[in-house]
Amino acid sequence: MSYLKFSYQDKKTPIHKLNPVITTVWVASVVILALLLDHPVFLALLFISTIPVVFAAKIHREWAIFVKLAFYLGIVIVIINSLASNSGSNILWQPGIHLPLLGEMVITMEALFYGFVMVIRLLAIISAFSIFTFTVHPDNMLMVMLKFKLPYRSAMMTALSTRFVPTLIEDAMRIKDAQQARGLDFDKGNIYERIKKRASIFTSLLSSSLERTIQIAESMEARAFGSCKQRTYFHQTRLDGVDRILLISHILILAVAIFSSIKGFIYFQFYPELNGFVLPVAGWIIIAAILILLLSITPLALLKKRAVN
Amino acid sequence: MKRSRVAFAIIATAAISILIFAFMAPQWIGQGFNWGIITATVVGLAVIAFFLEFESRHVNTKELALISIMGTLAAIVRIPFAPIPNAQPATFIIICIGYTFGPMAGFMTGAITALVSNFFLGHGPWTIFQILGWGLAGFTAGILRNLKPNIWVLAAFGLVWGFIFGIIMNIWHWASLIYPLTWQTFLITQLNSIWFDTIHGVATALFILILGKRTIAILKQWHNRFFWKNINNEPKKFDTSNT
Repeated sequence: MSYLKFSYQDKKTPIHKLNPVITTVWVASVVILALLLDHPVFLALLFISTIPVVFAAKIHREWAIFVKLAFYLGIVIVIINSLASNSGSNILWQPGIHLPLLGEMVITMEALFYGFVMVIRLLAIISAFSIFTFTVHPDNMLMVMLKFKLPYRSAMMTALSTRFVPTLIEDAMRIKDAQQARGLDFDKGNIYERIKKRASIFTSLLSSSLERTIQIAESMEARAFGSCKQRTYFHQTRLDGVDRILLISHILILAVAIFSSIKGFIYFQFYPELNGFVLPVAGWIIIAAILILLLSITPLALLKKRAVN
Repeated sequence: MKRSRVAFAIIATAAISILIFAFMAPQWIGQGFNWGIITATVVGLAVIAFFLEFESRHVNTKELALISIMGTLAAIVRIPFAPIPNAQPATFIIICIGYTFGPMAGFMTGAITALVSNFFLGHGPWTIFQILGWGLAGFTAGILRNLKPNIWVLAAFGLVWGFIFGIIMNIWHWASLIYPLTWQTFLITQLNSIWFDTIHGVATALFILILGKRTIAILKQWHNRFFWKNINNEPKKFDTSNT
């Protein structure tokens, strides 16, 4: 059963061993940067800067699936953008067709270019999220939620829920086997009958998992869950020196990016004419600094000799 | 006032002021500030506000365990159906939980379904929008309970939620990747996913029609086992002072 596995697999690479807080902050800053600035060169470099991390984490095969998905989405984005916007000045094609909702169909170079830049933006975001999905264990993600002082009860519930996924799948398989042993053929009959037969698995699974909730609740009560206001944790995630440096550098990155975006150092104009490929020197320096800081995660992760857990 | 209430108030103010600022000062958009970020921030804040609201309530262990396991159930029925997008009973389960256990339980079940199933199918910017979409489906189902609807109304409700879920999922994609942001372009983005939304809605309605009554009966039975009203009729104390 392929769906029993998490997307996450421990490949024992330095990226997997990074502190989950740092991976999360790194991914968040790539996503925020991608949304904040729309300079095509910057977005392309941002996407490229995620690739070394993907290879360092040895997740390129899974990552390729994500990127392929982004490409399919990207085709739609290019089509909608190039059809929807008429404000570009270089007209590529004007067949004189009247479209419903949009008026006359005009495809301009600017709109097409905008569509492609948005695909790069999407690629950067999806690539960053794939690193997050494939290198951070679900339990550690919840640890991060707690580290950022998010409500612990919700995080605990999500952890509990994640832990019971394999158990419930096993239950479902067992019920299916039992029904088949009683002579129920799931592949016979018309669609309505098939749904009815599958429903018998569903209701049994529902009842058995409701019984399970009682067991879980009772074992939680037996361990005095929620009896104290201040709770304690079995594992503690601590941030050591390198982690702190990485964390501060990411906050700096975001501050610099917001500042330069407001000041117009990194500004690109799409309509009515493409303008802004030549940036002021300050803009290029800021872009270089941001990318170097983002890329530094891989060498720093390699440098660190962290014991597992 | 409780700490979580204060946090809730701060978050609500922040979200509303971001929105007001975005509408009042459109010249700032594009300068360190764009609609992709605004929508993601506001939805993220809304989701956190819901979590805090849940946190501030007194929820017993039984309900906690129930919400997490029902989240698991909704997530695992989603995974095997992943190749056929949207034809899955997850929304149906969430609506049933909201209907039986009230708005907040419905919201949390929806939120956990989104989080847990994405551990398997992949996280992305869409995760918080799924949390909001499914969460609100459960939440509104909890509100709908007060109207005492019959099964057909509930099925229609499921059908409508298939489309609303699609709209919520399209907002981010539209706000951050499409230009210009007009109702026409939103409609086109919506048309692009209308097929999936229809499957989602129709499947949910069918599940409610076929399985709804039984599921709700099973859940109600569980509910009656552990949640009861405290009727205050203490027996009269036998007065021993006179004898």
